[in-house]
Amino acid sequence: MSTPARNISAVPEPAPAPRISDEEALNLYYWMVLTRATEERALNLYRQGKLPGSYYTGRGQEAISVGMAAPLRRGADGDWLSPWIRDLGSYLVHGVPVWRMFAQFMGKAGSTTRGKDGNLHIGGYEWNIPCQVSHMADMIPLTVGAALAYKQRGEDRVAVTSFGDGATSRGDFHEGLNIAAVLEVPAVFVAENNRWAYTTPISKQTKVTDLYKKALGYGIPAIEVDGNDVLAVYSAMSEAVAHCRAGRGPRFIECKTYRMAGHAAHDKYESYMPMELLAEWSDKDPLKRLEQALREERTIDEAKLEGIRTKVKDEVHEAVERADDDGFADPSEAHLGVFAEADTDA
Amino acid sequence: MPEMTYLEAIRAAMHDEMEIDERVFVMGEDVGRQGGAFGATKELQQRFGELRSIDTPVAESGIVGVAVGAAMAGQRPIAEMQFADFVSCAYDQLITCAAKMHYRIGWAVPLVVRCPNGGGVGGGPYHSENVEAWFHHHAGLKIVCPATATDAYGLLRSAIRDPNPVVFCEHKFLYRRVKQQVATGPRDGVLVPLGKADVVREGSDLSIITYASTVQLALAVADTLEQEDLSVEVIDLRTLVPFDRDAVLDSVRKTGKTLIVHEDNLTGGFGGEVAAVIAQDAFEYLDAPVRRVAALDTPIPFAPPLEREYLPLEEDILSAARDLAAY
Repeated sequence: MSTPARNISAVPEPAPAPRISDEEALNLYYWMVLTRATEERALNLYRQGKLPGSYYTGRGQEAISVGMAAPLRRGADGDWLSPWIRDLGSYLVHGVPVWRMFAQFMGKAGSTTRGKDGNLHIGGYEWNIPCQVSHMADMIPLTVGAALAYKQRGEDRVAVTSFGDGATSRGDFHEGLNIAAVLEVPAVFVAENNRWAYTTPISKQTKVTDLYKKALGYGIPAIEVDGNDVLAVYSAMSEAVAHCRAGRGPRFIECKTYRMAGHAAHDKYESYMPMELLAEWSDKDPLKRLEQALREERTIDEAKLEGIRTKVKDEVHEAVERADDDGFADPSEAHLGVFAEADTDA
Repeated sequence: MPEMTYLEAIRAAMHDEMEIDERVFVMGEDVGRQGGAFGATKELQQRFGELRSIDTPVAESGIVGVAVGAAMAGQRPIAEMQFADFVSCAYDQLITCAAKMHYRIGWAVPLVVRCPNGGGVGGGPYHSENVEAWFHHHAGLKIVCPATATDAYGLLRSAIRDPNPVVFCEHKFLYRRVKQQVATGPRDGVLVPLGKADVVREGSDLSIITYASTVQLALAVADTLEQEDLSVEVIDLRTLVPFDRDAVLDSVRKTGKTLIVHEDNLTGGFGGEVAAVIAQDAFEYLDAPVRRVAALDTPIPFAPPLEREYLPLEEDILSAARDLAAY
């Protein structure tokens, strides 16, 4: 079922990715189920008026968010991961506990920002996740900078960031990629081409709708993969990360996918999205596809999958309870933290 | 102690910090092989190698963004804007990423962005801008504006060591015009703390609050007025963020008359903030309205007679100080 990654660049064809074990595949399944369950629960909470602001989902893009994070090393000394707004799964895989995601959405003290920022503006030194900003593409140069630091110190760490098709229109995308190529830093750029930037279709965003071609223009080896196939994303990412760790410069992966809902929960996307296209992509749902592969190609017992889903249900339930019980930070904290007193007081 | 120019002091500060801290590196347009447009990073690449003195593409937003990421990943970057004017291209990275990262997640961004600032060099509208006021409004950025070679050295070393993003506004008119004996050296060079103003001349009749290029002008005015039996105190703010309110208020409470001087445009300049603080916290001590001398509210014109018309000159400061003294 996997669409093989097509290597467009001039670099030699990489060795075929090693077969993904059943255990690895089930691990990816767990994270994808957890991602979807967390988002569905958060969306319910939003509709009940329990989440301030709006709510942004990555429904249909879980294969990318999970597949890109899974091959990375976790922790403060691990790989830098700067995911964008559709990648809740990346945060989970890279170490952020589920209850803190809910606390974040609620603006509670247990939020990774102690309520100072909302939605997926999540981060922390302990996970090596910088806190993304709302401005598209800003995190691309930052990611190049982290990769530069690793290169300067001779560490075999990589820095990874993801972004949508809309972000490729901003200057920081181009400046960041260009600098990464020239400085030959170990950075992996993951473009999630979901064909929509809020209400604007990709045809009105760019004439070059295959985003990997933009990276090739900067001299960065680039491939496109089926973004709804977690095994394809995971394989491509594993290969790109190995390439970076070996000191061979940056890589770019375009994941072709589709945004399965509005820009945010408040967005009446039915007014501008062609419903037949949505239905078509619904059949390519990444979770359904992985389940099918697990059952049919790997003959994994349905009870095993059901066990994972039950475990996730319990985890999400406990996480929401814990976030609900959590208080808000004292209002006096609004005054604190503008300046650092020491190098890292995270 | 060697006598050195303001520019040589800046180079020495970077050199000395790079000697003792291998996390420190410089990056920017032409900073490596060439040593920068003004020579501030001269020979640093030869000494420390291409990974610590990095020539970058012409991309100010990218340069500052990369520096933010490197800072977060444990390095101590110094990003050079070839001219301060070009930091407009990096404005978003500074206020969106650098300034707010620590407030949101407690992750420090120890970064210096060096901005060759200011006019008086015939640079025209795009090579003469004073940029400090673009940034003091945004919480999370420190702003340094040295006036002497010693301060350029000591403040830059403190800025590099500071765990926060610092916009370092070095005045390029002063680069080769200001000279001083400076105590340098990786281990025993002078450090000047951020946030502490300098009372560069004590006086009792009138306070001139200023910073950067206009400090020398204020001192010249104080000399002239001394002949007229007027005692002028001159305060060099040195850093705008942190702002040494106490130094300003102490001086104003002593003299009762305040003239605020900066080379930046009048409207929205840092002087407005200084005036507001004085109005609120030293109102009862004032014997005259607070006055400001600053540049015209126009872009900076190119031709020397037009540029002189734009800039606050010694005679403008002298005239305002006399008026104030006579009030």
